[in-house]
Amino acid sequence: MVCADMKKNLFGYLEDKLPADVQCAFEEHLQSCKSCSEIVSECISFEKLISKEKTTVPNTFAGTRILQRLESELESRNYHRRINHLRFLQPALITFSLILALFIGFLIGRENGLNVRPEGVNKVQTENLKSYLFISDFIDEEQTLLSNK
Amino acid sequence: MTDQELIEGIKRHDRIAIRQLVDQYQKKVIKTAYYFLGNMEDAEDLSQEIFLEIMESIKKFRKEASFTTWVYRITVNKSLNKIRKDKRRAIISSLESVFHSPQGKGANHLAIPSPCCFPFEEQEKRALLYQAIGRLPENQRIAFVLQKFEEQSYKEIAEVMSMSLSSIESLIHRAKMNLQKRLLPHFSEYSKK
Repeated sequence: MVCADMKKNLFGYLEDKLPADVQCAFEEHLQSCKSCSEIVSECISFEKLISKEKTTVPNTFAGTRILQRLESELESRNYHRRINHLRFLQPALITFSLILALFIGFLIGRENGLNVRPEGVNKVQTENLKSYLFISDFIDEEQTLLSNK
Repeated sequence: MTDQELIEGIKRHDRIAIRQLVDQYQKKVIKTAYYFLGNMEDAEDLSQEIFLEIMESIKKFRKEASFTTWVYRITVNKSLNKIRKDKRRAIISSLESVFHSPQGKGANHLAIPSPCCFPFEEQEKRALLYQAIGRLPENQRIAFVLQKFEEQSYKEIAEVMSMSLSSIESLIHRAKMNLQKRLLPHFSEYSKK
């Protein structure tokens, strides 16, 4: 085996997947070639590093942090969903309250506004005042009555 | 709780199902993200985004693959997105430092931070390994990481990547050859030391 063959079969050797005869030739080459054996030992150290990486364990509190984040996200989503409902209802609520206020105002005005009588003024005085204010109407009415006659 | 019950529970935002999901998958998710990012803190932070994504897109899960495969798919995609984002950010900040610093030297943000528990030489090797893996084309990187670190079978990888078995075999072979090509020059440097 030459150095180029060694490079070709390197991963097969590291993963123990070489046929027996090729593996023998590979190992024989390593004994005779110093640079190739150094390369292989470096590769083995990388394989060990990968194995060590596989044993790396995440922080024990990582799960708790993930759960906290998920729960806070769920809560904020629920809050936004509620807010969105309100946002949808807001124009309707404002319009309804305006209409209600107008209606109530109209009712109050109708109840009190037409029967306003200042304090200390009796019914006769009111009638006199009315006849004085609308005297022209009375004259018109009298004239029409006379002309009819 | 079966996968089906778990999926239905997550759809309803049931707290017990969510807890079960986290308990069952947190290690897999964090470790897979870690093998792509090379940094445990980043992987743990990203895992929160991954679980959120799982919750958000559970309605889109069409049961064509197993739930585990689907979780792996999301993890891999999210990890690759984070790498892309970090690279873009690193390029922008190095450009900024070129224009703003008096010396005109850009910081090397692409370096893999190493955990302090590793000895110095091992840290160097670790950084070298992750850099070499990081420079692989995306498909080769996914296949290599899932096979070498996650010890998944070719069939499982094929499901995660939605590819045929033969394509996965050739991807892994090419990934190994590429890594060999990238790492061998460094080996000779080590052997000179």
